[in-house]
Amino acid sequence: MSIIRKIFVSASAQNDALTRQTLKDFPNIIPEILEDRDDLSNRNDLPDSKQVLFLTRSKGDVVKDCPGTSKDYLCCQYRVINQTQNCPLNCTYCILRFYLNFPATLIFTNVEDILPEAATKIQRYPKRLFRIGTGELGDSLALSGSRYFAERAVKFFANMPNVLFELKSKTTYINSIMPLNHGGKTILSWSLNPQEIIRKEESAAANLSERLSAAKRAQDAGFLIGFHLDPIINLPDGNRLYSELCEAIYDAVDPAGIAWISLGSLRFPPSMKDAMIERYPKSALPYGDMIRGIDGKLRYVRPLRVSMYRPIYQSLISIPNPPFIYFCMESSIVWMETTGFTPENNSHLDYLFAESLHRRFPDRYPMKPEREEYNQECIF
Amino acid sequence: MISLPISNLKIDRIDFSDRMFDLFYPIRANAQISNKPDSLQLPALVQISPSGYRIIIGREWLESRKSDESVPAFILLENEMVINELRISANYVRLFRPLIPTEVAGIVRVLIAQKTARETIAKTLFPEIGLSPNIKLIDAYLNCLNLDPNIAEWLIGKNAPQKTWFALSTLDREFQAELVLLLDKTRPTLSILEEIVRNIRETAIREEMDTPQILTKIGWKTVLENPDLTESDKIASLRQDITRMRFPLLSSHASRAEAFWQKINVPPNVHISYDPTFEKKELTLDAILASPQDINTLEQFFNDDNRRNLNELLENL
Repeated sequence: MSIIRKIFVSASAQNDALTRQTLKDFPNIIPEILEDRDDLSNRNDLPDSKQVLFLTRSKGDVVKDCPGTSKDYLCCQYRVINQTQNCPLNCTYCILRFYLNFPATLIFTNVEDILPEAATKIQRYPKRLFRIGTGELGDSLALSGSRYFAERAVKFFANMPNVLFELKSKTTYINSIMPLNHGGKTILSWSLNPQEIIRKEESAAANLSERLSAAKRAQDAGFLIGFHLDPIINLPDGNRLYSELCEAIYDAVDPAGIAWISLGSLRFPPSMKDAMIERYPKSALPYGDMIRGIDGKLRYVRPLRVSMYRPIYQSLISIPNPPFIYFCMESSIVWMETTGFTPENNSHLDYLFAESLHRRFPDRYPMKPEREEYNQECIF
Repeated sequence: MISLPISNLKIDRIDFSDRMFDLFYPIRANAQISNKPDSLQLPALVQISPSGYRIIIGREWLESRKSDESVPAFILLENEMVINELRISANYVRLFRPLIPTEVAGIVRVLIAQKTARETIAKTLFPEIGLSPNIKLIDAYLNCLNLDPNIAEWLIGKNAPQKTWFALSTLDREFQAELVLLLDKTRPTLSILEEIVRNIRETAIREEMDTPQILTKIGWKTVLENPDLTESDKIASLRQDITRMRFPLLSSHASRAEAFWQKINVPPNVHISYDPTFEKKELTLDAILASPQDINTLEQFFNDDNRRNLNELLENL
């Protein structure tokens, strides 16, 4: 059941196909037409931002560099398409509510502008492989407006040689994606946690077995798949739970078809802590053995992060030709202490993705990546 | 803008038995710990009532002037609506100092008893007495009435911010009684008390323990009632044990680093430090070189023993 309670549509977006499709999906909600985005910002009679949908056309750039975090932590130079901003899944650790500072879930309807914007930016650097996705500021598939965009994006990117388009989700809403011609250029990925954590902290999302079944379906349909073990949460029997999760992943899908698996531990801005406590008074997440990291975010103390990552990493690389395993927003020290290796910098990490994809999936990515290409500055 | 007439009132016209608006400081006369600064003493404010004058503010002072024939006081006219009377009284207090949360709580309680809508209290009254028009604040203020009076007086004396009042007022009476013991035996600063309470609460939630279990585990009473320990020793001991429970791995890592640290003989002109969060695995060295001797000392510092120990420390950071 959807949690959407109110829908606003900007006047300019009224006739867009995405708008019409979305409104059909919510026949019981009468939309309110707004002339200006500020009309919504000034409203004080709205329910939670996750329960309000705002369909509008973008004014500036929508395709950007992933904001990542401070230079003291390695980031992978991912690119984001911010077509959907906010998410209805309501996970206890969700940072979007605090990060976005807007009273509604925003969906841009001008698909015909956004996809060419991405293409233009990607085509400027034909010798680089770009990983790009819609799942950074929202779930790629949870809302019908996001799926509408995803369906068109999958087809749009199918014939572009130097892109891998990622749809990242905690749902199983993949039916409309499966039959599409994706040209091997789309990866479907799922954020995963042990079922015990899903039950407590991600209660509105699909459960673990459903996500893994969806991943299997996607793999069978010829899509590359990926997983994000993020946020990894410290629990008394966390090592066992995450070890079982790793086994479950490799049992559910063919590891040879997994493009990547990311690892990242729970982290959030200090200002979010009080809000989490107020909103979810029973959650123990705000009370971890945490320090304020170099980027100002609260995160588990490094020895704890390493002790959480090590068994997961060891488990994931225990198979022949394992997927590319990387850390999201982690320091070189953590890379080194966990894997015995660290990328030299963000560009190097970006290159390692391309190298791995070319080596493991040469039919889809025949272009051999050159390290120098990735050393050049490339700002979206 | 408040404009109230002031007059010399016959003391025998003041009805000391009428406590209808006994909302403003002092909170309790029998508190054991008193930090009440003189600045809290306000000129009296009374209201004309059928029996003479009803005291709104300044009871203590008026009690002390009972032997006088007359006393000066500001006068609030009768027949105002209760919400207006309280607004005027609160703003009268604010002319001299900020409202104390228990005073706001008292105002809220009277209005709720008078069937005033919560919405009206939050949206109409609160902004008029300098508070945020947030309906959630109503219960937060009312909770302040559950505070042990000793803690309330201590908070007044420390000029504690609203968030500290709210945080402490949600603690159960048993924990509050333990805090009164802490205040009595150690006289902590406001920030140290906040840290202790926060760490105990957060540990209790994470470990699914009761507060008394935690206090027993760290020997709370034993430490506080130990006659051989100074106030600062007691505070230091409790803070260390509570921090160890709240941040177990960070604490054990720090202890391990400290053990290696102790092996290094650092000369007086050299200062070495490491990142206490352990995000950076590095040592920072500051050396003052004011003379050739300082240079020699620094050179000698890097002897084989210290090099080995510094390497060990680096590895263990």
